[in-house]
Amino acid sequence: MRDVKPIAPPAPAPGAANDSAPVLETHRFQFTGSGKEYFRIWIVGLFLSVATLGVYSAWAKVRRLQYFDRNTKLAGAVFDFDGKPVAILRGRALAAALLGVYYFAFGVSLAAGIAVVAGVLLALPSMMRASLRFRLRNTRYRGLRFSFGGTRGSFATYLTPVLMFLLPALLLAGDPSGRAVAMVFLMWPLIHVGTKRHQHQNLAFGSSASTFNVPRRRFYDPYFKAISMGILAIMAAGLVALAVTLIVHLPFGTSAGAFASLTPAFVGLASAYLIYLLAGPYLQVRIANLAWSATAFEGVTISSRLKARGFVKLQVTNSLLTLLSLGLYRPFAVVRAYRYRLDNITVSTAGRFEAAMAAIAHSQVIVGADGAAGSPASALPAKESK
Amino acid sequence: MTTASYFDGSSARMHPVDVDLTDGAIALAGGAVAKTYSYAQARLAEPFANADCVVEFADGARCEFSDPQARETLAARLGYRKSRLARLEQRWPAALLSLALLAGCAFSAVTWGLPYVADRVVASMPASADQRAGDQALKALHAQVFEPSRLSRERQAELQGIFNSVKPGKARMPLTLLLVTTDAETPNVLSMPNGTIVMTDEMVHDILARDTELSDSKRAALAGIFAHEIGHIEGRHAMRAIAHSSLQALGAAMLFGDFSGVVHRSPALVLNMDYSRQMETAADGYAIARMDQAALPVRPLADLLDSLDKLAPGESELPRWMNDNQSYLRSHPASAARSARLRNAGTKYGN
Repeated sequence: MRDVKPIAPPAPAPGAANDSAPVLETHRFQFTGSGKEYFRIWIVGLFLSVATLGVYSAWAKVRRLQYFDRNTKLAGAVFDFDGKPVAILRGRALAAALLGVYYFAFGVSLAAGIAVVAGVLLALPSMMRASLRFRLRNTRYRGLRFSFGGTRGSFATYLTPVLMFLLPALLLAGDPSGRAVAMVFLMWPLIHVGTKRHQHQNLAFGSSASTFNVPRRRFYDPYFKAISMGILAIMAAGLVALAVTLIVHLPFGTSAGAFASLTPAFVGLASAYLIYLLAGPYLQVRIANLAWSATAFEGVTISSRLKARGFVKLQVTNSLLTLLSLGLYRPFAVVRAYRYRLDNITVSTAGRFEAAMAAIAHSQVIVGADGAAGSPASALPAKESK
Repeated sequence: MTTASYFDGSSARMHPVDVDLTDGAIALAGGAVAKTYSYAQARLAEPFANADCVVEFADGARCEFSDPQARETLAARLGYRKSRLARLEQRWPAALLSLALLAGCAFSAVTWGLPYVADRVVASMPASADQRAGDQALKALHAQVFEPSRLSRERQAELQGIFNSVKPGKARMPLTLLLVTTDAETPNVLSMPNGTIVMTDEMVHDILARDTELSDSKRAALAGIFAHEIGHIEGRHAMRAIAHSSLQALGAAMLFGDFSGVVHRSPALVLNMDYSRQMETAADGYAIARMDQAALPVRPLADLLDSLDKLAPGESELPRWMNDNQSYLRSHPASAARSARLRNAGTKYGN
C-alpha cells in the first residue's frame, strides 16, 4: 500500500491516473547546508553566548533554527523560522531563575526545597507546551505556519511523565520491596505513547490538522528491546571489570587494591555509556519511526524509516569524534544526524502533492508571543531536535 | 529575468512564476499570478550558502529562488546588506578567533572566575551557615565513620592542653578538638566548618612513633598541626572549597545537562575536602604567625612532616584518584617546599 519510490523530488505526476486507486506521490527531504558552514555559525554563536554570559544564546538559537529550516527543502519549497529571540530569552531567564532557586532551596530547608520542586513540576507541563507552540508557530513552509492546538489535555498529558520522576521515590518509601516501582515503570511506554499522541495529534500545518493513529501496544516492543540492551550492557561491563580485576590481581597481589575499589565506579560508568550510546539512539529511532509514520495531515502521510543500526553507528562515531575533538566536532555531528533523519523520512500524498497543498489554507489561529519558549524541557518532535 | 516559486501567504499552493527585476520593481507573472511589488515592499532574507534565496513581501507573500544566479542580482537590486554577524559567520579567521577567545574565556572562568565567585558567595553567607554545614557533616561522620577515641584519658587531656595553648584568644567561632578513631585506621586531621578539629588516634600514634611520652618537640609539632587547621577554619576554607566545587558541579551540569551530581554531594564533600594550594599556604602562614604569638617553635612541625613523608614515601605525590585512602599526607601533602617554608619561618623567629 505505502509504496515509497526511491526518487528525488519532484516526483513525476502521472497523467493517466484514471483508476479508482489514486497514485501515491512521494517526496524526500533535502538538506542544502554543510557542517563547515554550520561550524562557523555555531562557534561565533557560542563565543558570543559565553561573552554575554548567556544572553546571546537566545539569538544563537534562532540563528541555528533558521539555518536548519532554511536549508531544509521538501517538494521544491523550503522551511523557514522567524521566532523572536526575546521570547526565548525570557523563557531561559525563567528557567535559570528556577534552577537557581531549586539549587539553593535545599540549602535553606527541606520544606523549602520540596515546595520549590513541587512548583517547578507543576509549571513544567505548561512550559513544555509553550516551548512546542513557540517552535511550531514560528516555523513556516510554503508561506503557512505550523501550530500546536493541544490545550485541554496538555496539562494532564505532560504532568504524568513529570510525576513519574517523583512517584518511584514515594512508592519506594512506602513499599521498600520495589514491586510497586516496577509496576510504575511497566507503565512508562504507555505514558510515553500518551505524550507522543498528544503532541502528534494536535499539530497543524495551516488549516490542515494532524491525526495520529497507532495502537498503544506497539510502543512496548522498542522499550522491551532497549531495556534488554541496557541489562546486557551492565552485564558486559561487569564481566570486563571482573576480567581486569583478575588479570591485575594475579601478578600483583594485594597492591592492586586501588583498582578493586574503582570497580563499581567503572561498571557504572561503562554501562551508562553503553546505554547512552546503544539503547538510547535505538529507542529514539524506533519511537520516532512509530510516531512519525502514524502522523498524517489531510491527504498527506509521513513515513519514517530510520534504521536503528545505522543511526546507532552514526551516533557512536559522532560521540567519539566530538569527545576526541574536545567538542569541536559537535556542529558536524549535528548536521550529520539531522541529514540522516531527513534522508529517511518521506512524505506522500494520494494523488498529486500540489493538489493536496492547494487545499491547505492559512489558519485562523492568531499568532501570539509565547512566554516560556525555549525552556530546557523542550519537547520537540524528533525531527526538530538538534 | 529568472524563475521562482511564489506563495501568496493564504494557501500552500506553489505558483511557478517568471520574475522580472527591471523598472525598479519586482514583477511576477505565471498562471493566475500577475503581481508587481516595489523594491521597498520586498526584503531579501539572509542568503545562506546553498539554500534557496527567499524574498518576503510586505503583504505576507514570498518568493523562493532555486536559481543560484538570482542571489547576486536580488542582493544588488534590493540593496541587501549583510549584518555584521553574518559577515563574521562567513569568515574562517573570525570563526578561529571566536574559538581562541572562547578557550580564553573558559580558562579564565575556571582559573579566576569560579574561585572569585565562590569567595564572594561565602563572604555573603552568615557564620550560621558554616555551623550548620559542619554540624550536618559531623553527624553523618559520627553515624558512619567515627568511633570514640581509644587513647587514655591522660593522653586525651594532654592533647586538649596542647590544643588550648595554640587556640587564639578571639576566634571567629568556638574551636573544639575532637579525638576519634576510624575503621580504616588512617592517620588524619580534619577541620570542620563549624570549628571542630578532628584528629584520629592513628595520627597521634604516628607522631608518638616508638615513644611513650610526648617530647617537647612533638608537643610543638602537634601544636603546629592544630594551628594549621585553625588557620583553615579562620579562613573559612572548608566553606570556600564547598562553594567552589558546588559551582564547578553547577557549571558542568549547565554545560553537560546532568544535574544528578549537583544535588546529593555535600555530606561526602567535607570528608573529601580538597583545599587548594593557596589555602594550604594561607593555613601555614596562619600557623606560623599563631605559633610565634604563642611562643612555640615551628621547626618541629617541619621535621614531623619530613619524617611522616619518609614513613610513607610517595604518598604525598600520589594523585588523588589513585587512592581513596583519606590520610593526612594526602589531604596535606608534605612537599619539600612546605617544610622549607616552615623551617625558614622558624629561623626567622629564632626558634
